[in-house]
Amino acid sequence: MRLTFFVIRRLLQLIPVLIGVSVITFTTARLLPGNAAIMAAGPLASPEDIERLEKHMKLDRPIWEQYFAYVNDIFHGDFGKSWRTGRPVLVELWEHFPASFELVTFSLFVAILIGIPLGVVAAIRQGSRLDQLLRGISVGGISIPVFWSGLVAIFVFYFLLKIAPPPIGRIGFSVRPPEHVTGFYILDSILTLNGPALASSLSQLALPSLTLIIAMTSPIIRITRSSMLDVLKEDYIRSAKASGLRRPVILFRDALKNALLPVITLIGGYYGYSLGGEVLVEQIFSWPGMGRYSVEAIFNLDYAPVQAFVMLTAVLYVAIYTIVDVLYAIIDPRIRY
Amino acid sequence: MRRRTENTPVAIERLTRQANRFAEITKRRFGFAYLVFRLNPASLLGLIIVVALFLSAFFGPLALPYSPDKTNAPERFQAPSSSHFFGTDKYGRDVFTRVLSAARVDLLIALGSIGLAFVIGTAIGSLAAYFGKAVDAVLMRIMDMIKSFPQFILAMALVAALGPGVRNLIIVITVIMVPSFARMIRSRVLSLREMAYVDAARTSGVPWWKIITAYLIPNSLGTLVVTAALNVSYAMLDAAGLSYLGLGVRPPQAEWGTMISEGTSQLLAGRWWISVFPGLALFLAVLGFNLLADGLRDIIDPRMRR
Amino acid sequence: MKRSLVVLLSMLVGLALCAPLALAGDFTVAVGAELEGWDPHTAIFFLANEINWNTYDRLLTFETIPADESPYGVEMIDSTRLKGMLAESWELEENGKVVVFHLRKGVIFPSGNEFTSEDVRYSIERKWEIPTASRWILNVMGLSTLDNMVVVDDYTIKFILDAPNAIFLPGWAFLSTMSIVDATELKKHVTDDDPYGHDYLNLNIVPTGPYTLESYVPGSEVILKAYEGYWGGVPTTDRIIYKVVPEEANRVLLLKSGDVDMAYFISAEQVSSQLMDAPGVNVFSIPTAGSQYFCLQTTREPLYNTLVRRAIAYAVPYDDLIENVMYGFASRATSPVPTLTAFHKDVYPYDYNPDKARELLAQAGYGPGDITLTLSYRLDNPDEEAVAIYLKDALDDVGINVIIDKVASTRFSEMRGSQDYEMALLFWIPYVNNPVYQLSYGYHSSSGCCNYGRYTNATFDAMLDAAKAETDPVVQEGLVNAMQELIAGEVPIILLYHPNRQITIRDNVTGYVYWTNFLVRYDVMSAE
Repeated sequence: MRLTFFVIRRLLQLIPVLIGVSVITFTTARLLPGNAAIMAAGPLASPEDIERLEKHMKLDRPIWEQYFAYVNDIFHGDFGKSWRTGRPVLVELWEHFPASFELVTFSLFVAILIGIPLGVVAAIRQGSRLDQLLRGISVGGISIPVFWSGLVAIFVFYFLLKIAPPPIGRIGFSVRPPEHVTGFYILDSILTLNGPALASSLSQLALPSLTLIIAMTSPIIRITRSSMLDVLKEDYIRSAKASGLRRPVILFRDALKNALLPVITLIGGYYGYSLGGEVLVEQIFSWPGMGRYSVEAIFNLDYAPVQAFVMLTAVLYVAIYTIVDVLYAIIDPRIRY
Repeated sequence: MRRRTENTPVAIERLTRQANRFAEITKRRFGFAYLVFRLNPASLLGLIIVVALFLSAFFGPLALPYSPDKTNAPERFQAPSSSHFFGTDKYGRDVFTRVLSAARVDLLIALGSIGLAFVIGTAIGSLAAYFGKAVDAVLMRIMDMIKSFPQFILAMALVAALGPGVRNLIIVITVIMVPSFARMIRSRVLSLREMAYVDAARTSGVPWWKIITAYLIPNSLGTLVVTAALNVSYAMLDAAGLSYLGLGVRPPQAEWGTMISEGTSQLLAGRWWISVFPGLALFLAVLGFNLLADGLRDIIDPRMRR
Repeated sequence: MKRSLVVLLSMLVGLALCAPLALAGDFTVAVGAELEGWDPHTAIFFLANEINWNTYDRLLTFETIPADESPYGVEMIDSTRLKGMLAESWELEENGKVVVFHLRKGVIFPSGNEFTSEDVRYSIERKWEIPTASRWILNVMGLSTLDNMVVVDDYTIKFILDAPNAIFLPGWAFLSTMSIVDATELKKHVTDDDPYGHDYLNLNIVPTGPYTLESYVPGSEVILKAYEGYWGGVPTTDRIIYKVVPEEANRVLLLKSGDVDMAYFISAEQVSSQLMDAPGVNVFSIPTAGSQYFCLQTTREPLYNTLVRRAIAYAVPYDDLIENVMYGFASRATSPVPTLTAFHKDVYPYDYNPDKARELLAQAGYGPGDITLTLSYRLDNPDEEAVAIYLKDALDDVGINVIIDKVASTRFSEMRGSQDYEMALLFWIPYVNNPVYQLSYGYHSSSGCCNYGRYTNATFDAMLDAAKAETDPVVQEGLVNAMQELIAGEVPIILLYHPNRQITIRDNVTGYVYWTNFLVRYDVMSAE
């Protein structure tokens, strides 16, 4: 009962945040200097052409009227159209989503596989050489600018060693993308038994995900380590030790399970943020994901994609945090104040 | 039910003494920091990097024979050598000189925006915590909103709106950094607010702004300094990332992100030095601030250590 | 688990060995930007236009000059000799005020529909009515209302122009926006929300030309497939594969390795350092009538002062810019009418002479450091950035401080609207290589599209208006000469150079024809 109340309250709190998000999104997009009509009309247009276009794009209406029209459209599931392609923005975002999703999910998955065990080891061997080494590596990892490590990776593995494919996107040059089933190249090539496409999309994924893995692993190591240290100090672990349980059992059954909570929070936030936020990595590797898509939109004053993208990632982010909060409340009832 | 009792000079003096003791403890911890720095080699390394960064930013360009911005086309694309340690770029400018000259701008942007975010965030956070209720709800919801945007995209859109340039970069990074400070100080002040001496000061008629500036903020300073140190490195990475996308400083001003981006198209022609060295400088600077922040956190506020 | 891995791996290895590479008859092109929004009547991006160029036909085209007769070693169009495309022939009536097109009979489009005058009429109606389409081009071509387009019968269509117009006929051959769509097919996709099938055509193609759309992967590639029934003969290239490769250095490497047959948008610097001597790669460098220049805000001091403008003209190191920015792939601009345009005269007296510049500034009453000017350029244009950086040094040298303002293209567009530049780097490429058209873009106080410095000169306005209406070429030449002299003396803009166009292509490619609008038609090309 109290849990339901908590969840409802948490959801109600979302309403002002979402309204605020829509206002900020809208005004930021409109604050972009320049005249979308001039951009859309292209270089060969007369003032009359531009005026006609402003009317058509409803840019001549008062700003609040434009805002309500925009919100109204969103409630009808219409996020508008890109003037560059004339296509619904949601469709375009959806087409760019698999690229970002594949890259981020794969990288984060590997980062978790590496980061959590290393974090646990560092905590168990607190203060050891290994711990110090890992600490150094993880500080280094969060300090590397991805747009630079990506370039260095391209230079070393593609230009010098020639073992990586050229950084030209999701699939190699002479390979056809797999038949469209879901839009996820790796999944599609497995489903359609397309070996070359699978091999190519995996190898195209190597360098960008390497770049992301380096950046993502470090925070995971850090948080796992400190969270694990906190748990190891708790009384129940000590008493478990005292009661003569075997060390691995204590570590993995009791300690790690409890230590994972903050780790999950971090990863959740990270995931939401990365799905839309890896602009730089996508840019360097010509990865046709949502980040690159939104950069192009911003540079071209294409309001609708900018608004939709910012709006949706904000909602995604808020949603992930709300879910994490609710999960916390379920796991630890003390939080439901 | 207000306890309106000790509104006498004696009482106020006692309160002041109490507050001073808090401040003293804080100061002692900072003094202690000096010792611990010497004990923690990693943070010491961070400190050295940061100090070296400042020194080279201020004195480096003066000591070098080349101008960072003047073009010299006949000298372009020279590989690193004894006369050009880091080689030259496509305008024939000395990359080493530019890397040092860029340190100034990058430090200015990072420290400038963190300084502003520090001040604004502290104001917002302490007001929200002190007054609570509606003030708290409104201010913190706004902070939540800013936080809920994909920060880099928001920054990009804002810079695109305001136009590239050092000043606008500082403004934009300030905007995305304020919520961290506001949240941090809010939670600090919330716990301090219930302390006896604050309560007493309030009941004895000390005005709210004085309580905040004289009692609450000084006692949160440690936390704030750690937050600031941690965020300097993010600010630096964000500034360089925006510059990398072309949303940075005005040419011909050197800036690390811009330099990396200028070198991108030369990388696959084998001219690696144009982008690798500025990137290395950026990496070292961020590493320095991160190590330093780690050390500071261990000393000032061990509980913050996640 | 383990076994399935082994199966998967062996499958990979097995299939990788017989991976289908590009087929013979395919032509692969590495392009630098997205291919999108290709409704031919609204498209503004180059690559979208190129898709239109190959999937739609126009009424007219040009004869070509064979490679061995052309000065640049590559087959190119002869823009003085029109020939029919979808129109078999045309007649001028009333001194050129009325143009009648006789359309080709028996042309069957890929949809199976036959070409008629309705296709032409509907295409022009779309061009006129869709809000995002520019009516301006039709106006410039002499069409001021749709009523002046008259369908005579199924194979004859007549246009009544405001006045005889030198741009009308070449426009039908030059501009991809004059593409003819398959009206019968398109009308099937028209809805109330989308009365001209604009949304449909942005993503689909109703072809009237030699290619049809095979597939489109947003952000990655577009594949066009040959149409066997094309009236002009079966295309020699079966498929055109456009691959999006945003990073220039990668396009260069792919061209060098032979993975692509042609690469677009390679900068002079990369051509000079990477491709000139690369085995298997041909580089053609062809002078163009395009002009790189910067405008000066003539409405305010100090640039209002002609002496200051002349001083700036003397302060620019023209030859150094050509060498350092364009790596020699450009030629000096010596007149507002480019070298390759009729009636061109070397009227520009300015050479790099910093002493003279300082002298002129002193004469105008400005000492060193008295003038500070902002120079704007678009942030996505690396060549202009290089020009800006070199210009700053050169102007600093004569005592003019320059603030470089790197402007997002969005804000640039706004500045274009308000014409609020102090100095801005701009590029002008004429769609029609005609001296009067060349002079009409940037100097006329009211009718020009691009007078960004808001230059006003009543004498010039009068001469230009007279030249537009003049039909006697001798009188016209006299007016054009007078205008060139006038602009050279007044320097409302500083002309820097005419860049060459570099065609970077594999050496086994045959059939390439250079168009002055840079668009490539693949139906006669081959990469065997």
